[in-house]
Amino acid sequence: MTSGRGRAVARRSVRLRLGALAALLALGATGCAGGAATAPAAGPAVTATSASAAPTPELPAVLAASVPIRVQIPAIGVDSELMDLGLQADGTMEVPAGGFPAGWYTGAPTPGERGPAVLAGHVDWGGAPGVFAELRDVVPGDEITVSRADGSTAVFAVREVGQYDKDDFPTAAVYGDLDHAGLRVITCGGTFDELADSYRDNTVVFADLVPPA
Amino acid sequence: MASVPSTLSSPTRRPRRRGVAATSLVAVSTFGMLAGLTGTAQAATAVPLGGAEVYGVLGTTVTNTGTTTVAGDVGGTTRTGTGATGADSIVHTSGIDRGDIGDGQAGLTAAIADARRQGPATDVGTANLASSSPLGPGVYTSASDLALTGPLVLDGAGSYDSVFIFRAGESMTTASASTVTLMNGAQACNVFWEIDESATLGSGSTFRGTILAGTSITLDAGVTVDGRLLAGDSVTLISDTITRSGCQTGLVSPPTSTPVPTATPTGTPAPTATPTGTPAPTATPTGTTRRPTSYGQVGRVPVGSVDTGDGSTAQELSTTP
Repeated sequence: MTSGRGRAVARRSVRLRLGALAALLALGATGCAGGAATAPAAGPAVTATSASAAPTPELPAVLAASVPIRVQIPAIGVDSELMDLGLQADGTMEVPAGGFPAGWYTGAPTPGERGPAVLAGHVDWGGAPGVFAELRDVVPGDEITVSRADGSTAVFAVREVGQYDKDDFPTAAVYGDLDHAGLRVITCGGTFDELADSYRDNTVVFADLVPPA
Repeated sequence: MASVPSTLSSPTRRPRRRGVAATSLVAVSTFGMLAGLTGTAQAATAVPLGGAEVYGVLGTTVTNTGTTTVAGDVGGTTRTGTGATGADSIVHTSGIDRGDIGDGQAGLTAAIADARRQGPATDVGTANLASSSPLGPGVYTSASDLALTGPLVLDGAGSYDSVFIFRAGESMTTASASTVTLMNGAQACNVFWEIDESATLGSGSTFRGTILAGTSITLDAGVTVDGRLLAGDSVTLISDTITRSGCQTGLVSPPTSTPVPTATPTGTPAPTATPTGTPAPTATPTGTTRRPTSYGQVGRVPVGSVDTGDGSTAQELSTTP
């Protein structure tokens, strides 16, 4: 028989999703990939702040879900709105139609929820720097501020900045589950491969939520 | 390549703010989509079932038609069609039949009282629960009826200890082929449906959790329930299947608070449309213990890299050999 469910009271915040993320924008394609087939977002619906006693370890505090609307990275002068990014027909992430604005991947948690939130934007476009032209200059300790639709703000502190060959993209590190609220900011980097019409690398900034008071 | 060489002309470094660690600009949102959701809301706790825990089916009167399979005891003072053999029979995958159901009824009464005490609760009203899917752990109530006419997903947010309590002041009805699906740590042992009057599950539907009904529980044909049917009065079954999945505690996966992408991650697999919660092996980050990666928080994992740049300002060009 099942047993062992007695537990200390846990303090949690509960979020109810009303299907607001069920539809994604169809974006004009850029660069290599054409088409903009979208996939329904199926991210988690809950943030849980746990302060229970043993046996479960205490999870870091996180925010409730809320659509991000603005990202600021003061250290490199970034201040951008955020558009929705879904998946293309081939399963790769959609990208914005131009150098600005930046976007957020709607299939991942909203920035501030537990888990890996993902932002992406162009390093350059149409002969001019894109929104994340200087993302490679971010260093650990820099702040990334994400403003959310419900009026709250999620502040992240950069932990790591890396440049990765696109053929060896760190999928697990970027999209794997976390016990806290994390943020990944992605743009292109490295040399530009003219035959492939693509940058060789992705620059990825890893940041963690500064715990809400 | 773990370094970040600059391929543009050296940019002017803008002045930076230092000492960001003390910054606390975050306002915890209290504007959830429904009133009553706050950062300090008390979570639902598992409803103790006492003497009712052993039962898969419990009622004063239990009536069955066709062959029904039950995990757990079947209790009823009056039982019809519940014999072990025959056209109308209940086959036990575990448990026994009981005629003395006093302890079970006492457990059910106490469980109903416990479920009613819990809160604070979110009012979901009589609307189709599927329209609110997915739902996280907590207490959900309707002053009158509860309804489910589609797929409902319960998301455990990465913890096997997440508890879901649904309460109806009157009755609950689920439609044919409706489903309740669990993900990300949600378990049937931690889902409770406290229905003051009657619960009716539509034909061919899938349901999960323990139903605590004041009056009756009626299943149409071909219903699958992972959990328990506990009623104060009658339980009616028609060729249904009652199962009992296991119950565990803790987090779904070991917390990987700092996946360290130092040094070139070698051979990192790129999962395509990984099912929720399926662990995928990951390259060992430098200096850390190898942990399996799960992807329960990202609904669909994008394939490969991100194409964010057209090279129009690239200083270094190359050609693929």
